[in-house]
Amino acid sequence: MQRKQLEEGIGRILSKYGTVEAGEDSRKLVLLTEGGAFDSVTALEVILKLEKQFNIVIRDDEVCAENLASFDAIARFVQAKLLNG
Amino acid sequence: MRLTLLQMSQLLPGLLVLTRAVPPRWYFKWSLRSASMARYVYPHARRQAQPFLDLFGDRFEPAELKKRALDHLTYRRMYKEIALAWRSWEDRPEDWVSIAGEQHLTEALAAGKGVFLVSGHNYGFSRLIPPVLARKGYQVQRGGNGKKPSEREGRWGKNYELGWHYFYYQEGDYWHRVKMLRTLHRALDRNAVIHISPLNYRNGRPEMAVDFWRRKFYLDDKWFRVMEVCQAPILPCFAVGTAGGTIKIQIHPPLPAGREAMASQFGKVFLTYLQDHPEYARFWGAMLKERPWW
Repeated sequence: MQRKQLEEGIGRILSKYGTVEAGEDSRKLVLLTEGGAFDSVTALEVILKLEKQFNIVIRDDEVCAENLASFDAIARFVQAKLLNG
Repeated sequence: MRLTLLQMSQLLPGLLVLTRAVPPRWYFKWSLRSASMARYVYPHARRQAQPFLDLFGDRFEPAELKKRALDHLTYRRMYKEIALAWRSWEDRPEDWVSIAGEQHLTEALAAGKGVFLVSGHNYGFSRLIPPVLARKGYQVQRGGNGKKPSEREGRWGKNYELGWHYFYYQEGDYWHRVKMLRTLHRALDRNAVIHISPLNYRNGRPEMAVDFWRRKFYLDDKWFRVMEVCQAPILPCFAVGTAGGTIKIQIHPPLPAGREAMASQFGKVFLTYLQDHPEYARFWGAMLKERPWW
């Protein structure tokens, strides 16, 4: 899957929650964190949708800020998952 | 320090043998008598009954109020010891615990999506629900916050061996909460029964309101969101005492889909219990003191 296609898919998932806008700054914005734009229930929804849309399994030890906190982090993580299985 | 037979039986193995020989119904009937005496002897018992008397003083006739207040004290004493009671009489739950509406649970599990069992927070003997169902062969997990996990698990004895355990979230740890929700979702995928009791709040969204006896409280919106996201059947489930000295677990039919509809219907079921058995709630003091949640 192309990076652009992947980012569009992630953008569609995140845009449902009305927080992702175009531009470099918003891509680095930390969304999933205490007091961030997404609460823990929304984070669960995002994880489930990522798994479904990209046909991946996110393990418990992969549920962390490094992989899922921002748009960029999610894109990097999903791409790695798709490459490495 | 006052120790009851159940408490002492955990300290002295010989007494545990003796406790096991006592029929649980007798013990619970004795609890009612001792609650009646305790209100004369212990100031603490009088303090525990006071919020109930303050709140329902003009709802019940004096004789009825007195009986209910004593039942409330009995309940508070029994509730404290319910984990110990389980450890003493877990091998014969049929002597003191009955389940009604189990067909709702089996029918819901037949869909293969797991089931949420939802109880009112700080109401009745809801902590007894997971071990009783696990003993019947259901795969049960109970959700809650992680204030004292070791204590809770220890008090209930061999819960892991029986096939049920708590999963926790840690207050203030975002990723721990997300992982807990993930664990919960995986358990539902395995067709598990998840037992939760969402908090009651002083404030909240109007759709979450429960209107009870001139006061309102609000159900925990977050747990209803979780249940909506997981899309598993949701069954209200309550455990209250009976006049015969036993505990009855009642499982109700599934709630409708949609967060607001499910909260509204659960609120109605909870309200019925509160109206019929206000003595089985432990939050009257917190409600009167207007704490943020209870």
